[in-house]
Amino acid sequence: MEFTNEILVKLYTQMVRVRKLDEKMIECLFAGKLRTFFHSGQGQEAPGVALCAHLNDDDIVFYNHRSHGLNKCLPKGMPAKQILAEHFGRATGGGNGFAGFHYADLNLGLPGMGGMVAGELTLAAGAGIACQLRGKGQVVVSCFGDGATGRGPLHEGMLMAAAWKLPVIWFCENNLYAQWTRVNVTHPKEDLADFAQGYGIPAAIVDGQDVMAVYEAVAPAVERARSGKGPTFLEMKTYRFRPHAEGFPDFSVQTEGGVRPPTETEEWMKRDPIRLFKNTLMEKGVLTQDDVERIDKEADQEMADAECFSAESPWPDPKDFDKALYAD
Amino acid sequence: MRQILYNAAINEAMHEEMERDETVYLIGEECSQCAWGTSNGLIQKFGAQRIRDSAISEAAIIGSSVGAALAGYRPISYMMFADFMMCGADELLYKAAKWRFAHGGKVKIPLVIRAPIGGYSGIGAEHSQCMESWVWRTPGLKIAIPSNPHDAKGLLKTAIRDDNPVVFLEHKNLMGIEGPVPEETYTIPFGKADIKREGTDVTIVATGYLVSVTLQVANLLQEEKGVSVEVIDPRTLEPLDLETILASVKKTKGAIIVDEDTMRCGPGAEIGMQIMENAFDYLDAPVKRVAAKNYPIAGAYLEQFVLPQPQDIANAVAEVTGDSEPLDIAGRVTTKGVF
Repeated sequence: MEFTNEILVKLYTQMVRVRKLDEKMIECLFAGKLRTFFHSGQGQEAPGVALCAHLNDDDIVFYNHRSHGLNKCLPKGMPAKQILAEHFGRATGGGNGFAGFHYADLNLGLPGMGGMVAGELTLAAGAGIACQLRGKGQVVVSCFGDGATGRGPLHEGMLMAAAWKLPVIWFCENNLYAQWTRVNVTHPKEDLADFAQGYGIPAAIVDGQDVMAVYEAVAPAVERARSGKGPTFLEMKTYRFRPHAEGFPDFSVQTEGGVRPPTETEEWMKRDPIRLFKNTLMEKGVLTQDDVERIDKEADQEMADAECFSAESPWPDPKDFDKALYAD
Repeated sequence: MRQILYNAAINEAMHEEMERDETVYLIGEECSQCAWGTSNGLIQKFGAQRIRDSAISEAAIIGSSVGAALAGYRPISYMMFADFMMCGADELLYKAAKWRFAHGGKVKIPLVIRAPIGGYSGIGAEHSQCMESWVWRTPGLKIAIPSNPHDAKGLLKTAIRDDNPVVFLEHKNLMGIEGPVPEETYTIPFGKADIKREGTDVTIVATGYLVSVTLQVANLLQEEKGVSVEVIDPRTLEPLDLETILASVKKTKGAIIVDEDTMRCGPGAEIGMQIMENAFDYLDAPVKRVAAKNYPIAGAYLEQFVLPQPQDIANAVAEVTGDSEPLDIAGRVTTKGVF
């Protein structure tokens, strides 16, 4: 696949933005500024960024719990300040302050997120029905982690999408852990993409630490959905660098000391998707040291501005409860 | 006025709304050939893209409808039995109900879940329930519960046009019941109760199938005891027309809620408490509930000892009006199931 310099720089810049916002979340959480929890997605920047680089505004992404969807929502176009302000509980947040840790903007193809793992997966199939009936080539992406494959909605949704050739991409980020449970404790097979076989859905397994590999894998899936040929299942092999939830030790069931094996984490951290890609781009001469520093600095400034914006934004008004509950 | 069946009224509402709005579609198990006879002519007219026969996947039937609604369509999600809704509990009670509020009102979810309710057919614990309290305790849903063909058509058309998720509780026992339905198109607003029978001595708030049963008991009471019963059908539980109910209770000084759902935490508990909070000083007797007993609905012969019976209504009226000898129904009002 041909990569223009423009797309390479875009992928890199978006990954840096996602990482910087994730770091800002943690900083603000420990400074007592967030009114909710946070589940860092550091290490998993590449899948969402590469995915969204293929999508139009009217393509629909049902994002998932890890990192509270940062790695999809930010590159899909939701401003960092709206994401952060929501966690600050402010009226300017992407959920008008009602959500805490998720957001919606239908103009950006972001219908929102719930609190149940896998809860969005049947919704994605339905958005696929709407897009199929509308006939304008829109694509729906159903994002989930390895944990969601334990729940029925994935299987009901995939069955429906396969039977009716719905334009849905089943986008699995397998980071090996469902909260504190390693996938081998609960699943008989290593590759979750194998689930797709039973539904006759074509599948690919992708190195989720390599943003270019993800970008290449997403392209045919998007093309297939747009042209009405039906769903694809993509499994990213990836890893989160931090504990399930901030403020907790790096717990893991059925492992020594009840934590994730430090050697495993160390091995994966050698494959930081941002550092790997930075090295590639500098070797190729696409980025200079100055470019790298400038991109860092701009992202730092963006996140600092987002924090000021969030802190200065008004609280939402409970008088708005009724109009939020029912549409007129 | 012409007479048509309840299931034909539901069918007409879907035909009219699907013609009117191309974003309306129907999805469910065997929905093109509905077990209750509501689907005549739909697939012939609208095709398999808009009349979608799904797998036995209730979570996906309801959940996909939420997703399609978010993406700008107006699905009608059909459950073969209302009981099956709980297989899609997350999709119904969390996604459909909470999603708009949980995103600060930034999205709308226009969908209808058509859910055939009700017992008296001896078909046991998981095919006979009325699901009102399962859904009513969840803010974010609207609930319609039509008791005759006219209301079924008008309420379903309103439900389909509503920009919110509506649970439409259509009673299985009413499917083959005929009633007057105008040829001209009409809708019935939500939150507007209907006084099915005017009376002066006691108010009965009744829902669904038990509206007609209550009316028959009320007629006997009038004839044989001279007791004048006012029968109010709320038609929608959410929104609830409390105003009409309270005005009636203030007039009659007595209130009974007749509902087929389980008594504990059922509609009678909610409506009864609202009467207590808002009209206590007008009451001459405690509010009385007639509802299913707090057991799973037993099958076959034993069902009658769980579900409310016509005699229970007569007994409640006697209690509230201070009559020591309840009217003996003596089998003159019966309940009739579909099987």
